Amino acid sequence: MPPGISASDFYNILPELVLTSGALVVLIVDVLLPKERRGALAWVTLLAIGATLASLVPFRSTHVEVAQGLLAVDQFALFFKVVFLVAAAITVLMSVRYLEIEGASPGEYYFLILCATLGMMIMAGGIDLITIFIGLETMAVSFYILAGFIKPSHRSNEAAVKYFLLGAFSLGILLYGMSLMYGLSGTTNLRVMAAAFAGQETDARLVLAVILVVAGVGFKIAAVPFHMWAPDVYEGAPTPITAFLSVGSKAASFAMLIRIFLEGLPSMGHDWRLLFEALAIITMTVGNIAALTQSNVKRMLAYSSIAHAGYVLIGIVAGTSRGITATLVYLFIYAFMQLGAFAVIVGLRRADVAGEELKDFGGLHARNPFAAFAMLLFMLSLGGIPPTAGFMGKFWLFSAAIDAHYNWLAVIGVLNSAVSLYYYVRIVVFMYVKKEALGSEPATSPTLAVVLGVAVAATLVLGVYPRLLFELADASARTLGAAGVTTSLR
Amino acid sequence: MPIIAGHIAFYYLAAASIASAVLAVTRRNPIHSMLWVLALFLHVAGIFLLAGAEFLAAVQVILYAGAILVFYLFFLMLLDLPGETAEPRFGAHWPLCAAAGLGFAALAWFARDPGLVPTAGREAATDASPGSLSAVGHVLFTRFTLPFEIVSLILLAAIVGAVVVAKRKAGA
Repeated sequence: MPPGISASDFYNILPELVLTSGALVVLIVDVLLPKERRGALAWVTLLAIGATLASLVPFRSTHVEVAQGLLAVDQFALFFKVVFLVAAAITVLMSVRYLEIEGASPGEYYFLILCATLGMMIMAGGIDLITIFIGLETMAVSFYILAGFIKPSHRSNEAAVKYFLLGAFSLGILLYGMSLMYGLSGTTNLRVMAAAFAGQETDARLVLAVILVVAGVGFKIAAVPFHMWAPDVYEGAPTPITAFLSVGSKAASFAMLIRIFLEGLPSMGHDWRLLFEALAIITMTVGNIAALTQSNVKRMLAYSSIAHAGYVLIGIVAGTSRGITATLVYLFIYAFMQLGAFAVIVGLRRADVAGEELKDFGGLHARNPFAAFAMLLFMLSLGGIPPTAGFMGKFWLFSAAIDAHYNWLAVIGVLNSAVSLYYYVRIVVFMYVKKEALGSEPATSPTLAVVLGVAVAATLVLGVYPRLLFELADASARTLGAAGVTTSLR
Repeated sequence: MPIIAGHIAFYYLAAASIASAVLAVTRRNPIHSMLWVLALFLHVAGIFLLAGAEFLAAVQVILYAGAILVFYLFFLMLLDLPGETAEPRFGAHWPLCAAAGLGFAALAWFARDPGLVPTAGREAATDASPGSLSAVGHVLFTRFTLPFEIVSLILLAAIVGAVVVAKRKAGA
């Protein structure tokens, strides 16, 4: 037994161990299977994700620190782990057809998806700067490769290189801030750090550290003005990867953000709230206005995803336990509507049509009524129209802001939602009103139908009956902090 | 007396680091830039040595001056060097970049603390000093075993990535 890890620690990181084993099994099975049967790897990957989900069950109400305070196994991490695993499973399901059309080799692809998921899980559980950074790096390295996975595509290569360079740059900024935090507190553990920083609010060096960490995290959640990479990368990366990137990576980065700022820097709350408030306002506004003029749907959804990061930041700014709950609820709901929208784009991808342009959606209602209806629902949900889940999510976010006396932040959020409706409804108009349809018939595949079905069901059910999700998120938000109480929440 | 010598050494190393960094950015010939980066790495290694962190100094020389610089040089071979040299060294945005750099320097200056400046000789270079080889190794294999193991997975992902890129070259 290596010192630093005890036997009980091994038990507590069981889900991570299961996922890692699953990833390695995928890599081995890839070599063993004959080339024409490698499509079966998707099922091995799904099995690994399912086993990991099952192994989370014993940790429903665990609240411990693992490996001398490097990782926390609590309901907050659990909530995010479920989001990541569900997102990964949906991504794998929509990749099956996409990989066939693009002719890409599935072994490395699925392995990297599982690696990225593992990185996210470690980010969500990390309560130490070292674990958080290493989880972030595991996720980022996997995504750099996945973004450039499709062979002949120049756009895919450009996306990968841009993502890699800007990602490395932003990691440098983040590390600079983290090293200042370490230098000033003498520890990398966020909870010990919070105690060391109590009463140090006016320390200029700490302010500098906060600014740098906000900038580094801002890159990862694609908040304006750190968003420049997102549209190009989202457009160029393979569509299922874009979906996973915009859901999984974003949720993981928000988990990291909450851990660092609420657990590690609660005493600096005044400073980082101000920064995030400014970021939330310009992120919502710039994201929505830029999305108005896009004709490529992937690019449009990229800007929409930037705007949604702005909405989620409202919950962080509010900083109350209600605000954090709303953040968790929104990230969960957002996962389904965003993944669903990208699944429709994957369905439109044929040998002769890229399926990414607005005009490719023309006449979809006549050709594939279910896909058109699903897209309609996702667009309404992203725009925040009842009775979809997106409405409930926005409702909780904005009411949390009003609760914490950030009234005008909620007003700006509502105004932005109104602006965003224009470009969401534009797709709906193309699908239902325009008659001219391009290219061959969109083919349907059973795996895509499953994805759409799950996403539609989640968007509707969570819109009508959000209570259970809200209670789970609430319980998760309350486990933040060393004693499992919301001392760090205002 | 050794403290004064340490001070002189520190200020020489710091000044030389900054000078070589500036030269690395402003040289027209990328190879010259690279050589100044090498000088920068070596001087920074010297600063680590003064702070009693021999291990970090060795890593700085072996990894940065060795591996990473060679990687950069490989990359430079892919460029059209005479063409690069003929082009103006800076794009149109360089005043903005310089302003951002100076702004950050000002921020760091504002946030500085005399207690943080690594004064030479404050830490004796013993085996127990935090940057020494045994200290790093001890911490890596006890307290930080878990992140250390996760790093192995990052490396595996990177290797898989290299295979993906190499396969693409072979397939094309």
